[in-house]
Amino acid sequence: MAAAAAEATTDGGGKMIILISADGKRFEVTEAVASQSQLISNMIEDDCTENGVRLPNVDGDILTMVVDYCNMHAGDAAAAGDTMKASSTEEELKKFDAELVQALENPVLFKLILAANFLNIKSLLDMTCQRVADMMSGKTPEQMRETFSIENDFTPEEEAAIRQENAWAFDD
Amino acid sequence: METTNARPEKRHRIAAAAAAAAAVPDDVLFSNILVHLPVKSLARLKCVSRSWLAAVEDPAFVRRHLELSRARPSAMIVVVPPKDGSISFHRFRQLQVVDTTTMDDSSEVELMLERAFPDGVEIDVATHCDGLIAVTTDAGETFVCNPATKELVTLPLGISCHNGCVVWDRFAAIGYDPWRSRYVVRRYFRRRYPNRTAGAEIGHEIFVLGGGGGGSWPPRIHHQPAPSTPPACIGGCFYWCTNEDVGNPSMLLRFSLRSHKFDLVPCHPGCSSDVFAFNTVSELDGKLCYTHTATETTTTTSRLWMLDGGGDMARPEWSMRCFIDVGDYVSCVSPLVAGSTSCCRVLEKVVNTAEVEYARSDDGSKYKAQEPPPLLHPPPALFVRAHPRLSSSPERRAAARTTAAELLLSSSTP
Repeated sequence: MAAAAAEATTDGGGKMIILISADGKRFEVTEAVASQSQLISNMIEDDCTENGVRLPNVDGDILTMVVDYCNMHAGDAAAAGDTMKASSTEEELKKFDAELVQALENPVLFKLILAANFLNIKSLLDMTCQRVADMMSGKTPEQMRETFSIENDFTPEEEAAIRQENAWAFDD
Repeated sequence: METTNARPEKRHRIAAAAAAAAAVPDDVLFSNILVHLPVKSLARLKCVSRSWLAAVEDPAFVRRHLELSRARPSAMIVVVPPKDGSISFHRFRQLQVVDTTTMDDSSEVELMLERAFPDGVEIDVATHCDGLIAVTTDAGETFVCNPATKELVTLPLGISCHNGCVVWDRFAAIGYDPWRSRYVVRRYFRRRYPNRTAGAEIGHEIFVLGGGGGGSWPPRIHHQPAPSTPPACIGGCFYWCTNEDVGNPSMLLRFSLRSHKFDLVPCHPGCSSDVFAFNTVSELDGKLCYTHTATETTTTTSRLWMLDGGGDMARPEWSMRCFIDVGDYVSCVSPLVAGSTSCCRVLEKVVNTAEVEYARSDDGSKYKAQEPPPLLHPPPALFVRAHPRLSSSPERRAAARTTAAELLLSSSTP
């Protein structure tokens, strides 16, 4: 503990943790920032973050977004290399969140969902999933199969029967 | 209508997309994404694949969807009384209670479901629970519908009318049994056998909706005070006002879905029966609200008493939520929605679609929602508060209200 504390940054940042992405990129964040991930929080509790946390199924570019998000939401400017101001206001957070997911293409958004799910960061998972849900609401079953790479395993008769039953949902 | 099936180029595109997009695992897709979609989208997406169909109809999914939908502002469902032999259900968004002194008059009305009754029909009572509405017609027929998914089922006649006995005062109410996680419809009736000298019997029968149980249980004939108004179902118990003797303290008849037993719950001592009093029960903010409306000389006032949950039910604790000077004579008031506690505003009365009244508890004043909504012509029969919900195996939340005329049913029959 004492040795690690020597590395700690200025205003009460506490112990630093190193996250390592699938492609070997390293991110140094404070415990407070990393603890937003339930997975890492558990690891910190079990004292097994000494040699960095390897995240073999999260790419560097995705992890960059995750770390940005966590830095922003920890309200903690102590994180290494972070230029953001401490204690972001609620509006700033909302704006940041909206901008984070707005521009993303589906494949990237899905990867971000996977990462949030794996790291168990509930607020990020909720936000990204809500974004996908918003995109989905007006879509047809065909578009959904395409977006999510789902094979239609109904027989034509079965599908027609289900459509018939829910015919009201198809008229717009 | 296009039914996609083995079309090579499409298959190819799907495969390519699969390689590009990291597949979102099913549990995330269903429990984190689909669950946020509106009912209509989900009804459409049931035909994506077998696993999507199964997911959307899974009771746990339906429950979660309802929880999320409750977190959003609720709309009202207006049950429009039979016109030209059909009953219709409309979603009416203006009835939300908003915390500003001016009502948002941008009302939005949407037809949800229309059902024709070729032989004509009158509605007696409608009650609501979690987006499901149970309607009893004057002919004694009960149906349960989910306006959001446009489903409607007619309940079996039950055994209330066997052996040629005469049945009247049938009315049904829907509620949720939290111990068995299912919806039930309780039907109350009175009957008399033509060839017997015995007086009328009062019966209750229970229908279980969805899977498990099915059919009806034998009705119980009991000798409790006769229920006088539609019940409210809160915390797994149905509560009815009763027709008790004038002068005695008012009692609520309660039926527990857990023990399947009746008991009586004393009302607040201030609510003794009165020739000119009319009482209703309804759900307000998840609690039982007992509304005592009394006319003295020329003024009518309503007091809303809340039953605080838990504790000793033989000596229940009542607290007065608010006092409303109703002004003109109305035979009953049944609160629908309450605003946040800071403003203590209660949607008190729906006279007809053109007149929606809100009452405030602090000064007893009331005011009307501004623009008459572009709905149908008055009078609508029944308003229920509702969240759009999915179907399959059902869930909860109640608050139903009728205009005065409809509420007076049944209690005066000898």
